[in-house]
Amino acid sequence: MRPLNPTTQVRPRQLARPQTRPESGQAPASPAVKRLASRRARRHRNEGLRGFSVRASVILRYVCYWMFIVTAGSITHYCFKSVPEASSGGVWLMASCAFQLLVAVAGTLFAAHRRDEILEQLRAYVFGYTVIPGLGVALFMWVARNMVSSGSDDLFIRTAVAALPWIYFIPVLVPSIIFLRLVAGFRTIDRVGLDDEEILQIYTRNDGLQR
Amino acid sequence: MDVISDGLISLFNGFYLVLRTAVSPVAMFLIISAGSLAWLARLEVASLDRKASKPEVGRH
Repeated sequence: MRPLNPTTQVRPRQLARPQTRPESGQAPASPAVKRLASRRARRHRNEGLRGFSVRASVILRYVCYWMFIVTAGSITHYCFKSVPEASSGGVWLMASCAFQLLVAVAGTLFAAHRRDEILEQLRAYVFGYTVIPGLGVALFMWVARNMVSSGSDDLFIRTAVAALPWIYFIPVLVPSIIFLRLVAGFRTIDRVGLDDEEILQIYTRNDGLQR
Repeated sequence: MDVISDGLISLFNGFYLVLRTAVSPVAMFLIISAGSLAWLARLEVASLDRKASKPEVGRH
């Protein structure tokens, strides 16, 4: 670290830096702006341009998540539009996704030590168990209904047309409930239900397991 | 006066339309999804910031 200048008590780099002068008409920076600027400067110093591109890619990824959910909901809504049992299937899909995202946000607040795991599980539940299976069922339903309306009397297709609107609610509704239970359990998952005596017995290997 | 009142009525109709659209379930789900994803993206960026600040500590 460079020594302080004995006359000014500041480091040489600070002397060379141009100072902002409030009397020149420029408003003094607020603490939030200063914090943001120092964070940006630190990021640039540590990571260079790659730091900005990494963060931009994260934000872009989340924008793509949202667009994918909206697109899947729209396609599902179109496919189920003429099915009386599930005429608002796309709205159900989007409601389920919104519910899971809200649960994840609450989970990051109440179980902050499990944030990364909640994010991973959220991706698996929203895209792996809800959106893509729901979209697949909706597309299959659309094809099957078109086949029936074009005169097909295949037994499997007729059964699928009758059953798929109800099957659709399994990937759309059930993962929401399971995800809620999962995130609620993160708060207490690390707690030990044993009493002191049992813990000490296990810790001191007097539990009888070694025999 | 008629022009002003017609303009005001059109303006209020526009506000009413925006309000009705905003409180519709689909719009609410869209807004909730976008807000939640924005919050989660902010968390992930903050996590990156935390990891990136480690080399500076290790250098000293």
